[in-house]
Amino acid sequence: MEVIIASSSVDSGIGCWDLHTGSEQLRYKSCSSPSHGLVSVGSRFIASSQIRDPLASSGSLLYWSWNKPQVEVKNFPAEPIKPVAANQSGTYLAAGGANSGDIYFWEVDTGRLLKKWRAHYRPVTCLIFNEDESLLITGSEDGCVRVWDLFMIFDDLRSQEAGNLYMHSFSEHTLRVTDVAIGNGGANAIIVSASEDWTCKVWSLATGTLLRNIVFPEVVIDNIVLDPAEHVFYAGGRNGKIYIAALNTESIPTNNYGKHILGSFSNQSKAVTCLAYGTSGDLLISGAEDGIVRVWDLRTRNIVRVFKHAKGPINNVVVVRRELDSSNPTSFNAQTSSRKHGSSLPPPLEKYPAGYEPSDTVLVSLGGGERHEDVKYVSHDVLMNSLKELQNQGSTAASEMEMEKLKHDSQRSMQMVNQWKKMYENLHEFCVKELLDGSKQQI
Amino acid sequence: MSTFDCFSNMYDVALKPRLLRTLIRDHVPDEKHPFSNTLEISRVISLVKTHRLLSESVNQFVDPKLVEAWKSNVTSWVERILALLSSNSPDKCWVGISLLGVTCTECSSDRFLESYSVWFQKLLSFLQSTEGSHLVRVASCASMCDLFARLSVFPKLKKDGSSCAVKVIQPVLKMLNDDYSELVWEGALHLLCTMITSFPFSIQRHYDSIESAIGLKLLSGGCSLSMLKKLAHCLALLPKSRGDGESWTVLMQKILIAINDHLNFAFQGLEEETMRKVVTGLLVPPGKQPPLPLAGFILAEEITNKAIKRSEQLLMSNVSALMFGCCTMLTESYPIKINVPARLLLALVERILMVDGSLPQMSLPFMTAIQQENICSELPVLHLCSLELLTTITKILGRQILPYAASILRIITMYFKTCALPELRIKVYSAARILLMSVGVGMASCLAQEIVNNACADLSSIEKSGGALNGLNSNASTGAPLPPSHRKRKHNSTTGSLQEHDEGGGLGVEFPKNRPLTPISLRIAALEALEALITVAGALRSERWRSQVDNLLIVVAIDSFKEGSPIEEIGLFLLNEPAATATDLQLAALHALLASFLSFNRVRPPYLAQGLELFRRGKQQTGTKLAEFCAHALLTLEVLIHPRALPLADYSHTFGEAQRNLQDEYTWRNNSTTFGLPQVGNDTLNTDDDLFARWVGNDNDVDVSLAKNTKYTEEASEVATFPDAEMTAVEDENILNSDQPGDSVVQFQEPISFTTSVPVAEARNSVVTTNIISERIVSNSTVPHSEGSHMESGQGISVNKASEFPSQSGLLQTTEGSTMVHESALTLNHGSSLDNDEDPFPDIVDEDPDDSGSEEA
Repeated sequence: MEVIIASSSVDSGIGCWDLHTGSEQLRYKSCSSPSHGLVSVGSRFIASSQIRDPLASSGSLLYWSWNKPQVEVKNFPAEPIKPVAANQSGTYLAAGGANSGDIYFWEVDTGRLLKKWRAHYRPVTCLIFNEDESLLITGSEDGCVRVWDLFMIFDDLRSQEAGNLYMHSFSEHTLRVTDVAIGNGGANAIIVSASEDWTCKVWSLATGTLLRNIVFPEVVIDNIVLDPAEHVFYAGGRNGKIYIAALNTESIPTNNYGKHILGSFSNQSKAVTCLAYGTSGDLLISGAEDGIVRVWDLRTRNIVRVFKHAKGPINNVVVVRRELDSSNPTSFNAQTSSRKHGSSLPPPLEKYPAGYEPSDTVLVSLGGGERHEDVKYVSHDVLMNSLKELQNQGSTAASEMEMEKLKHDSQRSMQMVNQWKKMYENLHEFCVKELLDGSKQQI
Repeated sequence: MSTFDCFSNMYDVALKPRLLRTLIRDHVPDEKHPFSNTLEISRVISLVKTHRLLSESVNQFVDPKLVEAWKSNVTSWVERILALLSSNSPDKCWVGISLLGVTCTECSSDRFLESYSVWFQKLLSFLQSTEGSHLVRVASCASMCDLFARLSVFPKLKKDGSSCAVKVIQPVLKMLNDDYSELVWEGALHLLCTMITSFPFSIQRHYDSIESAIGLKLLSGGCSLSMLKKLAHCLALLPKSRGDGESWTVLMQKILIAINDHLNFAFQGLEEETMRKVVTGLLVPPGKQPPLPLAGFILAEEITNKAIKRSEQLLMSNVSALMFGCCTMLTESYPIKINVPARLLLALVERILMVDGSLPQMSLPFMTAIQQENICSELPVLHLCSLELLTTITKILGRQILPYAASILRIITMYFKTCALPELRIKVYSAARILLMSVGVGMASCLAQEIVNNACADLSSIEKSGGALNGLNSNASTGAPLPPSHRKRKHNSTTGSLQEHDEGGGLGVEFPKNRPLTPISLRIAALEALEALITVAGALRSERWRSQVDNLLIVVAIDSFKEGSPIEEIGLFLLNEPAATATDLQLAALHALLASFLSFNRVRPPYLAQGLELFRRGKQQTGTKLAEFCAHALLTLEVLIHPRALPLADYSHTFGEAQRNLQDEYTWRNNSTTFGLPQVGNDTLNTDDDLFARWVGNDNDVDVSLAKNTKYTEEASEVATFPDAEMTAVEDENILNSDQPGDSVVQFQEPISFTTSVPVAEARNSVVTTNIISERIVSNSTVPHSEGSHMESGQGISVNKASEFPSQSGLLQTTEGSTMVHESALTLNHGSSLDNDEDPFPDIVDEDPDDSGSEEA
């Protein structure tokens, strides 16, 4: 089932709705998140960074499991955290420091802080993983968008040799970067960034060049979401409009918006603060400053659902595909796993890096967990093999050879026996003779 | 049933009881008749299986009498089997046991549930008895196996099944301990595995005794390699019966300690101390007690004593079996998450791969030549196992590989440099491929050069006499000939430069006469690695190796199509896989070629024409895998041949303008097919979608100059100029922060005039594009704006850019100067020509040489 989770900067919890039925699920308590601070970690649980007193020395990042409204795990990173991102399988959690511009990279299952590095001069505002999770793309308050090769970050030798850790650094934005998005296509993917300088820019990952600059009519774009097929992207503006901008489609030269902007839709609300794409059914989910989550059908561009979340502004919506764990009680494996799942959440995240060596062990689920295989019967095959053997018996070259060998051996043994016999007789004869001679002499 | 009581057809239910009765009467042996013909038994079984004679599955419309008849016949079948079981002669016993096994799998659920306990008792008695031939034992193990397998289908019977299974364990262990033939052990092991997976509870009390029994067998030697593997497999399954992390970890530790002990003994004097210390340190963390040895204390002593006496061969076969066990433990599914000792495993792999049999200077006196010989003879197998383990680790780490990727990469690159046996190279390639795929884009730039160098060395051993190769080489866009035929890897650790390769390839002198051909399977592995590399990072920082790889791939692909290429694969001694054929090579080559075509993102693939020809030829071999793949490839490449920016259906109808544009384009495209132009794709590049143009285009000025010099990329270069012009447009916007639509249009005039300076066939393209654009200009002209100011801005840029884009500056200057008025006239011309539908290009063709001439002047 696909659910929407939404959080706000004022404490009104995390709202959760089923995208298809519209029914409200649990409301998770005590969360006031910064923008880009809400994430579902591998669909296993919800994590969110928290807005704290800016003077506080340590930050706060909370976990909720899906079936409990209370906070389950509290983490206190070394500094306040703003944006958070998890990879798809939920093994890694990356977060940007709100004070320093550092990036923290944790292993979720152990809580180890694997890496921490200085990414930007000013605080990081947004960060995402790319499609194959080998790159991290970050945007910063200093207007810089950087692409990090995680392999490089983790290879200490190489990163020392290289002058700078990043793969690309795009500094064409003049003001704070508000959001970044990356498309499909591996090495040929495109990166789209939005900034407070009224522009969105499209970058090529392969060449590291600016492909397109889209100027919005005097409005700051706070968030962008790519259409999965990447013909357009949607940009939520502070004027309450959601703009449609062309990526790989016919762009219409004359309209009221400007180059590459195909159109917009609006519901006369306040600023659009967050966007998400619902994969099933071509839906766009927007959160607005008035505390309402709207679901748009992208074909008709009508609102199909409205969820009231809070009085205050919403700043995160995330679409999560949740697997309903139908634990069938008959299976032995399922029982044990559900028993273990009693406290399913991983340990808290560590504050400081553990060391430069990678950890000795790594927590892995082997063979993709449970697998149902067809029952395989063997007796038929065994029988056929034995039959073959039986049929071949007596006629095979091997047994013939064996026979020959045995015959040969028996012949040799017979010869040996005869020889021994002869020898014995000779000896006997000799002894008898000796005895007789001796007796003769004695006599 | 009377004689003429015929049934309707072969699907009629009535057939089944009849057939079964006949079988019982005439073909199944009984006590009185001697059992002679073994062929009959196989016939009986095949009939029972094909006609489902024991299934008793009927729908409700079947005559109840018939159902009854069938039922009674099946009953008599079972009775006959039971009678055979209690017979005195071993062959009849054997037949009975085997048939009982088949009955367990074939009979209806009701019958099985009803009588499985009786059958179990019968089979158990055979397992327990100490007499009886091997065949009877094997058959009873197999039948028991199937009984448990069938039992496990019914969840309700878990408990009963477990209590049955407990009774079986002791006899099975006894079988393993007693000296029987391997056949019996195999059956016993299979039975054990079935019980571990299906009835784990039954194992738990005997866990330790099973572990030590198998461990003893494994380490004491005297088994064949396949038997050892089966033992290791069974051992690896064992922790599943408990299903907790602790027993998995302990068993893994035990196995690794056993491997390590063996290695310590075998590698004495062959390796540096540091590696050994690292592994040992990781194996038993300081301050922790090592677990009991795999086969208990006394046995371990005994085994090491034995091992010293015996040859290294035993050691090595043990190690490879144990490593196989490791791999199985890692790949088998496990109910909970496991702490896999990744670092330790990697260190172990590295330790083994570092040993190549050479003696360090220090330890010369400690090793005799015979010892060295023994070790070296076994090292390839050992290396193969470690590479397998490396691949397995890479696979299971999956998305959590990041902290370890660097050390895996180090191992692979290090090993690539030394490895020379084909079997091992195949494995390294596959390890590299899996690593690439697993880490993704980020990894590619580090691994690329290594893969490319090695693959070139392995693939270029094809005879160089072919004309195709020469022809291609002269046409190659960068002019870089093929890498060398001679294998440089043995001493290329420092140099990988193209120049050096060239010399060897160009002369072709360095062929040692007795050099064996590279085996096909190795070439396939190399091609697969290249394909993976291109797939993951064909476009990312690939400038250094890209053209080299593209040349290589087209040559290999063309070569694989040569008739009668004398390629015979000699079966490889280590991998028991069917020998690769020339067709497999062809397929692999085409796979890689397709990947190379598709991953071009900035220029048109230079060898597209040849490639298409190959795919077309491959498609004709109907019914083969090759033809299937070629059809797929042609479909995929169609998008490359006709690149398109698809319109949004939803938006176009709201904007009449866009729709008209669209129609123009469609009609044009239809027309163009009659010309049969392969360069059709250019049209869409000329639309004002600059993003698209830049994607397809080549905006690297170095590349442009390179491409210009060759025939192949001529059209690419002309494509490439658009993005450059466009880039200025983008920057223009940046600087002025203006968004007048006319701006870009003015910029666009130049490339068009440039395009038309190419052959007439393409002039058509450009003209049509001009039409489209000029139409836009007409529409744009309604927006009031000062053209003069634009021109000025254009000037400013052209001055700035003049030094960087010498090829561009000429164009821009044209706009500055006198041609300005002339050009606007031109656009008007085009606008009108669209309406009266006359062929306008004579004008333009006349016009453009002048333009270009003036530009150059």
